[in-house]
Amino acid sequence: MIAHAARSRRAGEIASIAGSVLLVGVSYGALADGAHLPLWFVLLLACTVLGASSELVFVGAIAGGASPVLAVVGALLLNLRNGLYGVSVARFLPRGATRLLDAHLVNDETAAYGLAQPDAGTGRRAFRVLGVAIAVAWPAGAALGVLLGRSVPDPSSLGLDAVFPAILLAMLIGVVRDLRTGGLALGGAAAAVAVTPVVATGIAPLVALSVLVPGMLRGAWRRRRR
Amino acid sequence: MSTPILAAAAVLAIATYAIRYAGLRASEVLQGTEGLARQMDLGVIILLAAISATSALFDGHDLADPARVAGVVLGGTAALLRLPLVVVVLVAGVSAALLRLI
Repeated sequence: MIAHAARSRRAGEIASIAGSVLLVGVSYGALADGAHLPLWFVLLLACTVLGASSELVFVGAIAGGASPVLAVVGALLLNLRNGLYGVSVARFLPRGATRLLDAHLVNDETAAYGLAQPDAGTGRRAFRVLGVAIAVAWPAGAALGVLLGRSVPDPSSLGLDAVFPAILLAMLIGVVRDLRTGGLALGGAAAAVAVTPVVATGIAPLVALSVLVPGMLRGAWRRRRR
Repeated sequence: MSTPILAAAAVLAIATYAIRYAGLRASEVLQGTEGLARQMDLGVIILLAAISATSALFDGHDLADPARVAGVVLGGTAALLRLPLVVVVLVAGVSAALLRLI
């Protein structure tokens, strides 16, 4: 009975995240259409890159007339964090051929949602189901946005820009269980906010990781003394 | 569709996949170092907090409008009250949208 309740709760969570991804996809597609990018190209990018913010940066840079090299570098900076997520979620993913598919599903939402689960088995299932849901919702939304083009309302009029920070916040609240973790998360967030106006897009969250350095140095120092 | 743009898109897709796959593989190398695994989880939490904060407060390099910030705060409050994620999503989106109508 309890397991059933937890399952239906997760289904609702996954549906609301994927639904939000779909809506952002629609507005992204409309933006790409405004930049005169063809449907097949937007769809191909959505399926193969599968990274919302990096595609927005890429398409925005191309539309703004930036060089393709700069567009790629800017977009890749945003995707670097997926490498770190991979190290962490690998804990509940099996080795072998399935990993080739699991890798494509790593993103902010799947990493946060998988790690927020109580055990490895649930984490793996949550990661995969949400990952597949996003892998369908994002390209579907983007394609819909291209087709609807200018008739799509501005995403900010739906408040979509407030939805994703809130989703990540909700998952953090579930994951942060002690004061030290909470303090480091707050410190990292403050560091990222402080440097955002002056560094390239995508770099600020990585700067946040610098709050780990004092702890690591202290650990290394202790090991040396032993 | 010009060739340089197509080539750029291909590089983006391949490099993004490589980053993701490398992360999963790197976990093997780091295996057995319990302390490092904990640092990695801490790193993910810090990253997510930073992404949430910067995307709540900034639009690119500029400050976001107050409606977005208020929407995130209200959505975050719903999350603190342990309300379902659907409610968090609706509270954040609807409150930001309504505040923009005013």
